[in-house]
Amino acid sequence: MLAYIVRRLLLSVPLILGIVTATFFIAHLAPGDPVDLYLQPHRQVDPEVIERVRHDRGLDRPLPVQYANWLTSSARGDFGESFLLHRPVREVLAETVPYTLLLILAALLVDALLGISLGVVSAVKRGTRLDRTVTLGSLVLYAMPGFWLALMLVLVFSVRLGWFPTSQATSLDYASLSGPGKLLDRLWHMVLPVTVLGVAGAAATARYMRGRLLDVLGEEYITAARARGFRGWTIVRRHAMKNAMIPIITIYGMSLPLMLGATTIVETIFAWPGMGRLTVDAVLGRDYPVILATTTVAAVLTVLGSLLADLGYAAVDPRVSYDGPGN
Amino acid sequence: MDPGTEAAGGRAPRADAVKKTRGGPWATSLRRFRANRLALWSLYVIAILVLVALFAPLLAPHDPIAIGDVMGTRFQPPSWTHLFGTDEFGRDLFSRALYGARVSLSVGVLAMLLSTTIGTLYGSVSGYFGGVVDGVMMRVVDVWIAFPAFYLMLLLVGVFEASVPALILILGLTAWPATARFMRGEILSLRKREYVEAARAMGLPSYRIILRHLIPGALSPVLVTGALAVAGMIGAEAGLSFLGLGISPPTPSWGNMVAAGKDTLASAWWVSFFPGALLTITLIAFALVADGLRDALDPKALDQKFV
Repeated sequence: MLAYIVRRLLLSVPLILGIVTATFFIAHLAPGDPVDLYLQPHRQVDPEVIERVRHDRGLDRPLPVQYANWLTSSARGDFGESFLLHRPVREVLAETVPYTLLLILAALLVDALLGISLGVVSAVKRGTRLDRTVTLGSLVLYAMPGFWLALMLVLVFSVRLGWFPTSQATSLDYASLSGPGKLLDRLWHMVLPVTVLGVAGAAATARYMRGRLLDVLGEEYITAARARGFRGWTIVRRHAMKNAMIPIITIYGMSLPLMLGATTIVETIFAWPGMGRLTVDAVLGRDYPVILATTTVAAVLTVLGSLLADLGYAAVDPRVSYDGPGN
Repeated sequence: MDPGTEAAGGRAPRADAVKKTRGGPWATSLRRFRANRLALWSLYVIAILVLVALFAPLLAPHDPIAIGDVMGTRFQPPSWTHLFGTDEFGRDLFSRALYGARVSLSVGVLAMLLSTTIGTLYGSVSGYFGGVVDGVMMRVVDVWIAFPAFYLMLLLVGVFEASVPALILILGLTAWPATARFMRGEILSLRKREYVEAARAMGLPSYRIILRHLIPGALSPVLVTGALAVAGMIGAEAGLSFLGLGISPPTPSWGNMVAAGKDTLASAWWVSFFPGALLTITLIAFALVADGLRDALDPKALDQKFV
């Protein structure tokens, strides 16, 4: 098992390197150099100043040298300084990434609890009105664009009913709250963004879970269990669930990049101080050091996600061999 | 009927399946698709949307972009003169939504065609030649797929100014590797078939075998992923436009129309509501058509209905 983990980790390195390289060169395809864009609002800047800024940021060196420099410094966790915020990117990341991870983990939890239970109910009650409602409902939620769902939830639950806050991760008086009050305040702010992120994932999970469970329920060992006198829910719980759950792990690993994409929009709508909103602001303001850094972080998270999914798969499915090629 | 399709549709027929196969596999699929009411209705919805997009200038009751007497006409709630109400500049939202269908559908369909074409050819070449070629080509796909797609799109629209053609290119070039990967799998299973061996034995050139015999045999899953991809592309365009990184106002796109109303939700809910609702209906329609196609084209799922 250990050898398998090490091999998969080593296989992730070229993947991340490839993504980071592609990101760097795409960012440098931009017409004009970043300094021009950076100083654009103040066109009257002394050419000497422009030269100095360019030199300070290493932008006067050849592209391969810049690439090598960027690679070695970012490997040490130094992503340079943000053009817009005038602060080290590393500091900004340290503040924003935890907020995004918090959203994603909470959304994955909602996804799992809601998605698996709806999928199971739907499969067990196959063909009934309940099944049809769940199946069609999950398709609608899955297809619905997250930004519209978010605005409609805000319209109903914040604007009309006033139950949940429209934005931010904490209230203005957060600092003066007691310990449990702080926790409640955070949870209260998370309800709407997590719902938007989690519901789409839950819809996909429910659809998948239903299909898998129906497949498993058609297998011979289930018929055998039925013949031995087990019935209904006992069979589902004791015999079918475990096998139906295994592929869900892979679906989870693949859902991480989708979630990361969705967080950019959700964070922007809810003014959530995470990496997604940071990225959108950076793209709007052409803040290249930040764009490069957040893309790198997102790539690392994605690769780690699929790595964890593969390891989880190998851990629960005895048929996966650790010695074969990591496939 | 092409030999490739015949072989794919007619593989391993079950005894009870043989009876039902009248008029070849495509006719069976068509019959099954027509029996799926939801999928059929969705197809009608898409047909209406296409007509709306084509004839938007004739159907729109007002000018979608011109701004008149702003103070007198802005933020009017839905009424018979303005079905969807008016926006902050007094423009008729119904007319803007009709024009928005043009952007959504053209970006969605063209980007899907681009990504499906690249993905299909790439995957087929990789699967057909195998060996080192396959190894190198698939490593490129691995990197591409591991790239969080929306971040790649953000990066690209940040670098290149977004316009309709640019968005089609960006979305199409971002999405092809998934098609390539599954196409390669299909081709791997097809290329050992006797009819392909026969084509090779006859001395047909590789490009001919790939284009005439392999790709047609793997076409039905491409149709399903294609229908889903249109929904994905339309959603991505809307998301980018919503963030202010796609189609920029005053050109109407459903995404930037929803964004235009987000700060006035409390006083003018209709500005965001209607374009988003149209977008949702469109995405659901494509998803249901994809579902219907999957059920209709899968030779194993003879009597199963999905919804």
